[in-house]
Amino acid sequence: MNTTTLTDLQSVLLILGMMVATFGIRFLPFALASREKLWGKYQEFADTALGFVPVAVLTSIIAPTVLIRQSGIVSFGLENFHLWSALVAFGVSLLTRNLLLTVISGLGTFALLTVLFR
Amino acid sequence: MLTSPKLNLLSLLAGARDTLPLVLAAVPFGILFGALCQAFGLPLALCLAMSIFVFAGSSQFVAVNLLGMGTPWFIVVCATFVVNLRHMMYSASLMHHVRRFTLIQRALMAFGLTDETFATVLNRLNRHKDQPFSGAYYLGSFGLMYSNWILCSGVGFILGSQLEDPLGWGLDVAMVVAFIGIVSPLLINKMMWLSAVLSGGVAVLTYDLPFQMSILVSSIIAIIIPTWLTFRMKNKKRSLLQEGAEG
Repeated sequence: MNTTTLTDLQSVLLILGMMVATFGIRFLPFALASREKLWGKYQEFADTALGFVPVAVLTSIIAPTVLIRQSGIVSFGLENFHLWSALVAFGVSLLTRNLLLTVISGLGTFALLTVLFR
Repeated sequence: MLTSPKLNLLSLLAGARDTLPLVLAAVPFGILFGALCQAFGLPLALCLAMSIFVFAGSSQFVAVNLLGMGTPWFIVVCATFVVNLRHMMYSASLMHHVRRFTLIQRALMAFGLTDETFATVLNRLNRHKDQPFSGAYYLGSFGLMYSNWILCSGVGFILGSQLEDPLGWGLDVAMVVAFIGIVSPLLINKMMWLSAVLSGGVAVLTYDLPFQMSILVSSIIAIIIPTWLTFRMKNKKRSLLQEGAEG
C-alpha cells in the first residue's frame, strides 16, 4: 500500500506544523500561569470548572474504550472482557482507593476471562 | 530549592513507577503507529520524527491515517490541532501548580503533557495534598512515556507486517483500569458523579464524530453543566441567607 508521497519540504512542514499545533495548545495556559487572577471576576467560576476537568476528560476516554469494542457497536455482553474488568476495577477502587490494587484486580480479571473463555 | 538532589532522584523514579501501567498500555499503540507508518509507505525518519517532535499519540494516529488517504500536510496539521485541544484543559487545570517554575521548565512540562502524565501527576496531587507539586516527579513520568513511545514506534515500523493486530493483545485494558483508579477517588460529591455520567454517556453517543471530537464535546458538556448547577445552588443558598438575615 505505497500510497503516501511527500516531498522532503512537505515532510518538514508537516512535522513543524504538528509540533507547533500540539505544543502551542499544551503550553498556552502554562505560559500564562504566572499571572495572578487571570480570569478576573470569573476566577471562582473558572476554578470550579477546572476542578471538573480530570473527571470529565478521563471518563470520556474510559467510557467508549470500555463499551465500544468494535466499529461503533455498544456492547454489554459477556464477551466484552474490557467491560467486566473495568467494573471489577471500579468496585475495588471505590472500596480500597488503592491505585495499584485497582490496576492489578482489573488486569487479573482480564487475564482470567481470557484464559477461561477464549 | 530546598530539596536535595537525592530526594529529586527519588521523585523522578516515583513518577516513572506510577506511570508504569499507562506506559504498558501505550506499548501496543506505539507499535501499531509504527506499523501503520510502514504500511502506508511513510519513511522511518518521518515516523520517528513525529514521535520525537510531536509526541501526541492520538493525533499521530489521525495524521498517519489521513496521510495514507493522500490528504495534504496542512489539513493534517489542522486535524492535529483539533485532536489535541483537550490538552489545553489539562494545562489550564494545572496552572496554579506550575506557577513557581521558570518559563523554560514550564515549556518542557507542556511538551510532555500527555493524557497519561496528566492523570499520574493529578493523582499524586490528590493523594498527597500536603506535598508540593514535584517537577522531578513530572519529569519521571514524562521521560518514561516519551522514551517508550519513541522506542515502540520504531519497533512497530521495523516489525511492521509481521505482527498481528497489537490492540488484540488487550494491553489497552491497563489504561482503562488505571484511569478508573484515578477517577473514582475524585467522585466525592453528586456534582462529580454527574460530570462522570454526563461525560461517559455523551462520549459513547458522539463516538462517531471525526477527529476524536467526541472527547472534546463530552468533556465540555460534563464541565459546563455541573459548574452551572454548582453556582446556581450557591446563589440560592446566598439569597436564602440574605432573606433570613432580613426576616
